[in-house]
Amino acid sequence: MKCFSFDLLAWSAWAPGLETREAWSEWALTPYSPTGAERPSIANVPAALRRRCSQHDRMVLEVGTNCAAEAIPGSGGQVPPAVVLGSRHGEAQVTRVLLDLLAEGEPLSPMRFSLSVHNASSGLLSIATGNKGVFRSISASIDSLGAAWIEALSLLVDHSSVLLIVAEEEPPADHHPYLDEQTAAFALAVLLGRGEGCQLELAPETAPLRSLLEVQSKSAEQPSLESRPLPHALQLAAWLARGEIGEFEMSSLNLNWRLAKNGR
Amino acid sequence: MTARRGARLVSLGMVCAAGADRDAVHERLRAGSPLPEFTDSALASGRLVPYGMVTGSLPEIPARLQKYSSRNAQLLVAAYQQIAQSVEEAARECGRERVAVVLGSSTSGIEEGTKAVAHARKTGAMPAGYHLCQQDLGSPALFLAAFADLHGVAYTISSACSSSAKAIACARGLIELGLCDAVICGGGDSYATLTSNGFDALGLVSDHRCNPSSIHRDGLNLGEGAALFLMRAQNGGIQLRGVGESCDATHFSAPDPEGAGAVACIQLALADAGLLPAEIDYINLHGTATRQNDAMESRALVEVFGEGRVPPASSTKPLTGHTLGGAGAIEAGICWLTLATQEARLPVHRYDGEIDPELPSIPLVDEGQTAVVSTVMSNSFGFGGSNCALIMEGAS
Repeated sequence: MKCFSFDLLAWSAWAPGLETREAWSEWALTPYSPTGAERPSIANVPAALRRRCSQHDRMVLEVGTNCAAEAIPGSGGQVPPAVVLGSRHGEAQVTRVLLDLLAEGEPLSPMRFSLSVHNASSGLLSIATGNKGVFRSISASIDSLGAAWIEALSLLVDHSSVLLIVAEEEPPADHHPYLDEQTAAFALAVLLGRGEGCQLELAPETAPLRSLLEVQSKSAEQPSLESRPLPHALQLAAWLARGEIGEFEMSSLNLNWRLAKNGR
Repeated sequence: MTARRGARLVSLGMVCAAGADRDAVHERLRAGSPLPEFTDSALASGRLVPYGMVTGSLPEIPARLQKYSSRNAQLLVAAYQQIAQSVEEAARECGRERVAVVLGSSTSGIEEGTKAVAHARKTGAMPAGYHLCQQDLGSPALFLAAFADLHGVAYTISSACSSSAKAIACARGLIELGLCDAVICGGGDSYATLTSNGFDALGLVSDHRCNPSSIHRDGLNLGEGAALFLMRAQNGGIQLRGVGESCDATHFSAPDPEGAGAVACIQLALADAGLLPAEIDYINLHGTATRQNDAMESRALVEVFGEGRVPPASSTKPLTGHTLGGAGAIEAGICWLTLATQEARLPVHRYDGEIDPELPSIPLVDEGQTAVVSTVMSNSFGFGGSNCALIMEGAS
């Protein structure tokens, strides 16, 4: 087993209908998969940049800029943090528009193509915040939070703070039958700093069989979308919104994760 | 800073237009070797452009992993087969749960997804053999971990053209963190209608073999391929000595013309390695042969190394095409081959020989040029202003 200590300096979350801390606290009592067409305002992002943003980009910019602003001055807020972005679906909606154009034999928009890459949102966040440091864009199916978190721990070795962001747009409808978790639109940002405020234990799973492999491809036995688990990042958001009481646990990347605040 | 654990690049497997395996690529780097054939690739705009296609047959994906089946996965298997023995050795010595997989890719199997969408628009349903896992960006690493039966962490880095260079950087981070003792790292991109037409829309694709640093350069050739290393927490051999990462924070798809982001990542890599600029013996350029990249990169190198003090440098893109998410790993592979050889030959800068006088002067490697090479650098610069420089050191 490996143990890691760090401080949770700030967090910020956004989802359709969940735009305030109070709304997230209320949601955390009985968490569900947020969906909807509302878009975050990203009012502090210049209009020229805002216009180019997909829903995914907007959510990343919303939580990324809010979380950094909430950090307590002196505990990592001055030096721009290293940034890790985890997302399973990334710019799946932008990509679908391009694939539809290709199927129609229509020309692609160069701007839209260049914003279809997985690191589009982190590139836009770097421009919006002037952060010229380290950005890592990660994907690991249902383990995208776990993978991004491990990268964040790795970056904390050489950086005083790391901004960990997970964001998902609802993927195109014909992707839904292949999914093993609920679809949702949300973004969560957590600013980690060096310290002893929290402890994370990572223990090897006793039965190290990737659950993903056991999920059969599209078949009659596939559970309904609603009965599938919430994405890990929403489970973490619920723990944060409930006031970080008790332990947050998940199983990800063949590891059992247990996170708790120290001194509770 | 605490002493780093070793990050030994034990073995290399690769497949790309330059060669079907490591030895074939190595042979291609030899002075006088002919350029590999590039395939004529039709674009939606009606243009026919050269593409660095892997032309040989590729391994089949086993039935148990069929939902991951894609050309991208096949390229990874072709590269993996060349390192499988050393991976098994590491798994035996350290435990399968102590071997991680971190790969870079920008395409995953998006070509399979592209065909599925075209099919669905005609028929109203996705094709029977389709699965989202074919195109999920996380799939390359998850697939390879399952293929090789490894139980360590597995994930994919996707930051366009810097993806697989960053994956190699991340692998060292995982070893430092103590979460594993060995990592399969690198990555690959496969032919995609989407990227081919996207780069065409950006006006970046040449009609001819790409011509890096030339006054006549007029864009890049795309290509496909994969390169995988087994990195182990050991000293000796060929080491990943330093990494530097930066973000331009200026423009989305074009590099910062002043090259500030490139300068920053190269300086960070040197600092991380604890080396002076004069200690670098060879640089593998990003060298895409677009007007902007080559101008920016030459400027950045002269700024870091000083006028007249840039080490011998070459772009190997005319041999491979620009393999995007696979480029960082393939070019690190070329650096590894250069360090592994006893013959002290440098990869030749293949172009028409008419250097662009507007570019700050850097010494491009000539046919037959040799040098004692112990420390090399590889640069990658991608969309989103995402920059990464790697420094590798050979056995002394």
